[in-house]
Amino acid sequence: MKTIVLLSLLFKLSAPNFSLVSQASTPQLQEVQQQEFPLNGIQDSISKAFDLAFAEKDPSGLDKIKNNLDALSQKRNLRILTYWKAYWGYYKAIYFYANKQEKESEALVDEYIKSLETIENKTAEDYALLALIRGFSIQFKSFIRAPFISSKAASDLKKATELDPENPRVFYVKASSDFYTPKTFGGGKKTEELLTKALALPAQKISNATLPSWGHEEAYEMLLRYYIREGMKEKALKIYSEASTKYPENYNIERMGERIK
Amino acid sequence: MKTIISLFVTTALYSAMAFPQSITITGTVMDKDEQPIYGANIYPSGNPLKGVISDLDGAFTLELNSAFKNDTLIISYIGFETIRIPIATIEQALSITLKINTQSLSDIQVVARDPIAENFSVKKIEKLDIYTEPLAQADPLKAITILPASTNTDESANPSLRGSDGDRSRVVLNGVPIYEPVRFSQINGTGYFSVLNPEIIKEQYVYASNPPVSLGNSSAGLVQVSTIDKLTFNQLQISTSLASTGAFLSQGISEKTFFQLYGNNQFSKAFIDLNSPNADHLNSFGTQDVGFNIHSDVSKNLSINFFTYTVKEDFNINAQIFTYPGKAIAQTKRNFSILNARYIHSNSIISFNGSYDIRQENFRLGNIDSDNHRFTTYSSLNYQVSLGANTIETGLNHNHNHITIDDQTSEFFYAASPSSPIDSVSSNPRRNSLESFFHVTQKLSESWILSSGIRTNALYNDTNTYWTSQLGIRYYLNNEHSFLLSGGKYHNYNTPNSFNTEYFLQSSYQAALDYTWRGSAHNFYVALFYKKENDNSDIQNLGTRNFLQSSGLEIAYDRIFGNWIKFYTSFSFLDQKEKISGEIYQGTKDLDYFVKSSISYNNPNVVGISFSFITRPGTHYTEITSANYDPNTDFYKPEFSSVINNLSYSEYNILNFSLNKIIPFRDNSIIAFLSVNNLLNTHNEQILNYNRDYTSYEAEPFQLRSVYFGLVLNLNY
Repeated sequence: MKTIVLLSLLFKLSAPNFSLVSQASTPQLQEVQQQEFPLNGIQDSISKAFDLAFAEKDPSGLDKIKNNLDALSQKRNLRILTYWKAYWGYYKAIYFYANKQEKESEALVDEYIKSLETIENKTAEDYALLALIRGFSIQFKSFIRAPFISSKAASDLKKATELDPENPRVFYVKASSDFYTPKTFGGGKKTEELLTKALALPAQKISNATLPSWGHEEAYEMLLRYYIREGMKEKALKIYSEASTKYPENYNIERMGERIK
Repeated sequence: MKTIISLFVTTALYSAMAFPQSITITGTVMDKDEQPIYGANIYPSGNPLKGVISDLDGAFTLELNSAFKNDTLIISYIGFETIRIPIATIEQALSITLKINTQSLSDIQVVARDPIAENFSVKKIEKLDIYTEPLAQADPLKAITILPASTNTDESANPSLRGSDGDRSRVVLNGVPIYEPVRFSQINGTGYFSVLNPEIIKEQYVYASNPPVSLGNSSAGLVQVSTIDKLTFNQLQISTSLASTGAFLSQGISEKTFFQLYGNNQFSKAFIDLNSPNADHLNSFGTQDVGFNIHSDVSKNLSINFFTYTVKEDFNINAQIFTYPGKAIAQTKRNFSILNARYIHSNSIISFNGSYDIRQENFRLGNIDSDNHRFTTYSSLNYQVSLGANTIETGLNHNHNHITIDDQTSEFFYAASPSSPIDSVSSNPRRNSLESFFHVTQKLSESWILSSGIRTNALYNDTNTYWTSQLGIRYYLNNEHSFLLSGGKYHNYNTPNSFNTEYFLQSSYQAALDYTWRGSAHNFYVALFYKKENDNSDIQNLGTRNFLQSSGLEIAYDRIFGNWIKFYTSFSFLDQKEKISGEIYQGTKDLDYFVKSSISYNNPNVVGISFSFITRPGTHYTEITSANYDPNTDFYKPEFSSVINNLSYSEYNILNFSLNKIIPFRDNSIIAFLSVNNLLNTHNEQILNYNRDYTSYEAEPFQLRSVYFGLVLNLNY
């Protein structure tokens, strides 16, 4: 599980522009847009703030996003806010963990698992994020509880698949679960297939800057890691070439690329 | 002229190209509660990139050129139904209301949820619980005996819940009742192991009382067991131990189909030799069993499961019936199969469950020679539909039971030597029942869930018509705390045996209040209950039981310390009275305390070690006050106290110990285990064996200290 954390820590998202709305050309227009579409690019904002928090050892940027989300919650009852707060909580929990604040990290993931669980009529996106955070939470739980959390995560993913069989994030989280399951317990058998599928699917069916689009970059990175782990050098080189082209700023991909060159 | 026309056309075309006609579509997107939907996609079907999203007020403005006038406008948002509007028909601002996509969601909810089990059972036990709880001894039904509601006092696997006889409760496997779900059954139904293998189990829901009307035929509690519907990985498990060898294969056939095949051969010599003299009452025992389970998700909507189990068992033990000591010899052959089919359509499920159970039993001791043939078929057709926050379930089931009892019994109950006079008891009871039920689960709010249901055999019966009815309400204070208040009137048919050779209807009134606190590292549970079980069964030599009344308090607490240590303890108080032939007496299980505790350290990298401890007062029995010599039989005839259950056995205490070590190699593992039952070799009184004239007795104990060990090889591929 520490590997997962390390992976997450070293993510450098390339900040693609997801916005459907035409770009604001003036500060005034930007302000208007921010008021009307406050969640545009929220995923990117969280990722960037997370990177910055590490680089500068200061999570204030990350915390500011949470304040903004809370402020928006007070004004508007938006269902999607529960999702983005949980997404934020996931990154903040990783930050806490990396800074050896394990108690705070555990409390945060527990809080956001509960929060996501309360969503009525969950979507595939809700279930995928729930499974992702549950997976992260396992490291804090005892050996006795871990299998039950895994079982819940598997159940989340099953529901997510039925709701949206073509969601790349669901395939990525499934692959992640398979990748980190010890081989003794049958892990690693479907990682390649699931990640390949995740990469073959569009990040979003219809672009929407307010909705999640993560999963592709993560899938590339995990697939590369998988090929290296399994000693499949040719495949590793091929996927590195693709990944490096699409995400040239990803430190982790480059680091692994150097190992296999 | 041509030039003018040409110029005009050219100018018009130029104008059109330079200033194309545009279409402006405005509107708002709301949900059914008129809350704005922020971020909804609004786009022409021909080019999603030309789309916009709705703002915080749900408002949008979409500018399109005239090329899109024959296109279709799509309004969509995750989790909601998509709306399509021909652009040509749009004349004014749109006011769009998106509906939650209940179609696909309800499919999932129905598939994933069993609202009755999730909200109205008191405990869910998963496969790992069976392995990790020391008191469970890796037996699915013994895993239930750890609960404070379990009042088993005979070390058997047959669930006895809240003071009731085992036959009052039901074990239901994949929707089908399994009568007497135990192995090594004695004439009184006691069996030391269940017929279920933990590897086939997905989960077990326990209803300590108030069994769901959807399953029925229980007037005490119910254990709802389901087999796994997904195989995580292929595995071959080979086990060998002091008293058995076995193999278990879990194999996927395709992405959607898998099977499990297993078999065990149990033998006794090594166990008896090693545990002598504590196992000297055992002459021999043995079991050969084979099980096969196959599951297939035939399509997205249809799944099928088939399970079949065959067992042959025998035992030969030293036993005593009144003053006659002899060898009790028993053989049983049994085969049962269960077929399940479930079809999901829209927001509903149609399910069929069918089974047969054939059993042949023989028991001999002294002049008793009992031959029983049992044949049971069961089929049910159920329909479940989710309507918003409510779930309605209804169904029909047919149960055919046929028992052929061909017994040679003692003519005089106290004279059981082979040469003593005998009576022949032949009986051929049959029971056919067609029962139906109707159940509604209503989610009144986020916190309150109401359950109500009825069940009856009124459509067809060859016994008395009954109406079972129940009401339950679950209150979730928050994610951790919940209360369950439930009550009702329940019915079941008994399972005939050598003492009660006919079917008859039994009933009970029950009420219970359960409180559960599920914390992140601990669970706490308290329950209060009351029940009155009306009866008509023959209590051997003592009369006919009119009713059994039980009330009690249950408390359980478990906590995980750090990563590896788990502690569990429970306390039960059971006040029990029974009315026999018109008089009220103390019940056999009138127990002032019943404490079960365990502590385990399970670190797969180091070792697994556990201790479990049970203590309670002895159960009550009726004193033999005197005996008179009967020259006809050459046996003394005992006279029982006029006060039934006036004495009790000595206090019961047992400490068990187990140890296991996992040795991984490549992707596989070997598990070595050792268990010591009754570590302190406590002499727990089970029954009194009297001398010839009943002037003295020796208490026969439950199993004294015994040692058991073995190896399990897990090959994963």
